Amino acid sequence: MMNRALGTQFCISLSPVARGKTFWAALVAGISMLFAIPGYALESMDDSEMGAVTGQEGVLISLEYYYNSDPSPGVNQGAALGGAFGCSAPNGGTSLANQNCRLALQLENRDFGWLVFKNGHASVVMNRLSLDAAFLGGDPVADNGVSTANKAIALNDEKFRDESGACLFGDCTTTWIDNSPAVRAQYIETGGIYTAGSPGQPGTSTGYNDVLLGMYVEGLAVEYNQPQAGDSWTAAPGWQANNFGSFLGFEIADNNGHQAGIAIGGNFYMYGF
Amino acid sequence: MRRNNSLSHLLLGAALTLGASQVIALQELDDSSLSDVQGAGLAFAMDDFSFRFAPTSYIELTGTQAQGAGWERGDARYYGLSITNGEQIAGMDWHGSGCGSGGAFGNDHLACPMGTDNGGGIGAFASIYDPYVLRAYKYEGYDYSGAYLSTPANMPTVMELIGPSDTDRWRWSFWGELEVDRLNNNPADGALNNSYNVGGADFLQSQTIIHGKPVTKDGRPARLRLMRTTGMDSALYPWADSNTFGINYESALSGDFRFSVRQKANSEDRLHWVPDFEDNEGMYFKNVDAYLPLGQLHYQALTLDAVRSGSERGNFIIELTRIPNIAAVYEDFYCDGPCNINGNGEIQNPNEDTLGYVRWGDFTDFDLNGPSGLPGATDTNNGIYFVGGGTEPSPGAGVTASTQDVTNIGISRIEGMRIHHMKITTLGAGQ
Repeated sequence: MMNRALGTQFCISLSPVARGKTFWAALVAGISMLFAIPGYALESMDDSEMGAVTGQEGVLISLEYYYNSDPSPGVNQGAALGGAFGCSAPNGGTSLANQNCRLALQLENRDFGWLVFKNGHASVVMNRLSLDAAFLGGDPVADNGVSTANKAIALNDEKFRDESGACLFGDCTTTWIDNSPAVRAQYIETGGIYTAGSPGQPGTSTGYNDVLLGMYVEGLAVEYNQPQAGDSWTAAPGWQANNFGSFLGFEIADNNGHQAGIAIGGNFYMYGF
Repeated sequence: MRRNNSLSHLLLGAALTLGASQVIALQELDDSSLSDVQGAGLAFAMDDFSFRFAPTSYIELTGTQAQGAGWERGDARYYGLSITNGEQIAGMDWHGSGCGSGGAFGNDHLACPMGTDNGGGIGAFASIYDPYVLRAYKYEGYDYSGAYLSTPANMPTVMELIGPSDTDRWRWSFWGELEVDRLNNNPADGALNNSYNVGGADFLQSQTIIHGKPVTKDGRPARLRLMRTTGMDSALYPWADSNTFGINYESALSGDFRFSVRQKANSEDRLHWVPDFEDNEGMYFKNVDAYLPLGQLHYQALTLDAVRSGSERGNFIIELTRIPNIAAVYEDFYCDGPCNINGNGEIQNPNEDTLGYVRWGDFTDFDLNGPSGLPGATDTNNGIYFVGGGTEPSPGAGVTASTQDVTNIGISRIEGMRIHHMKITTLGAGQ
């Protein structure tokens, strides 16, 4: 994959919150070992002492990623970066040749050319995704377990067996699953509302900010490394060429901004067997 | 068959690192507790899940070329994409002005595009007892050259994602906007949905609502498989080594469907303005059940390519590759084991796994009782029917209750779909 992104910014913030345990405790314990004071023998810590470690109760993840796009809050958030090193104003022609804002893919045994995403930019903002540990079937509050409705579905134990029928996950019972640990990611849906517009002004959405997602690709085409007889262009790596225009463009945005607003709610559990 | 465990082990290690007990403080994991982990797969459960694009946020597909200033920015938009609760009737629409079923049109769950019960969350989007499973797996089977692969050394590794076999019912919905001929219209003005304003923008706004589950009625889940194709280097293919990225997808869906365009009398009806759709009008499909296998291990897959010569170069190809013209492969495609064919040339043991079907309506009554089991001309509990629009929020001039009459055109089904070859080529590049 070739990727020329001059305006890329990436930021992750991890915020300790009050619940859960493991993640920060492990991190803090690791750091503590590095900074142990010489001259004192290691002392054991019991559970209650570990329980007092700040941030040991789960984390909140907020993430922002800007690819060739403007990170400044306001009406331009997620807009294409311009200027000599940015994207071109879309015009359906020369702008497709922009070299700063393109991304190209090549699949195995398709090495005659590249699928080129032309004059594009993107951004994603993820707000306050909570990461914690859980027991799958435990109490929804004390153990971060699932809801009653989630457990009302019949067990499909074939999911946890190999092709010979041997169980790969404990004894393949609901009891075993209930007591299994898992990673839980949680979004508490913040929702949003729509306010109808007035003449000349389309309506607006407010809220819908669990995830903000912006994406724009002016054109998409396959570009080849070698010309055929009769072509007027010369050989060059397809990922930097612009001989075939576009067959499709796409965008993810909002009527009033460069990023779509998305409300997400729910608990996501990952476990292995 | 054998599993390839390396990815699962890696991810599982990460999961265990994060996933230790949270109820009491840190607990060590000893060897015995780790020994319960097989590394066979990763499971994903989702509880109280909901997903909603803002009513004004969209995914847009644009045309091939600019046809003038601004035109390259308007073809088809899909707004307000939502996945919400479908177990309860209570719901909301994008406009936020309220919605609901009159109860007379069989649309209790299809009047509102989004569910509001449980905060819109789907309790069992994927149960912990029947989760999504991601695993690397090896299957026996014929490859493109007709070779039967059955040893751990030659069976291709397949990454597969298997969906639940049962879930709570969801509502999936979006509203769409199709705009054409912008150069000759004023994009700021209405409207095509009603034709009062000649010279306005030419557009069509619609809503699409699906109420159901991503499984077939008999509990077959959706499956996605990714692999590197095997055996495409035979004389069947024009390039010396054509093995490439391959996708198999088994689509499964059951439930009810509604597509509608009519807006309420006081809806803005302007380009890019969120419409207030009428609650009953539309085209309905009840008791839909569909299963569509795209690709078969290891001799058919969705592959990606490009036009390699000629005037259409620059365009992209998505192809469900042709079934290789090899007797053993054909036998596998059509029959469950060696083909058992009777004197009339009929297969007695068809391969049900390669059979796709789409049923628009429940055929149980029809299969038992014949024509008397067909839905009546105004029935709304089964089959395909249309509901006229017009009485909401209040009857206006020329609008009467009769415009909401129901016309049921019956039930329909396609059985036994086996796709031998399908090729989709884009157009527009290089023009």
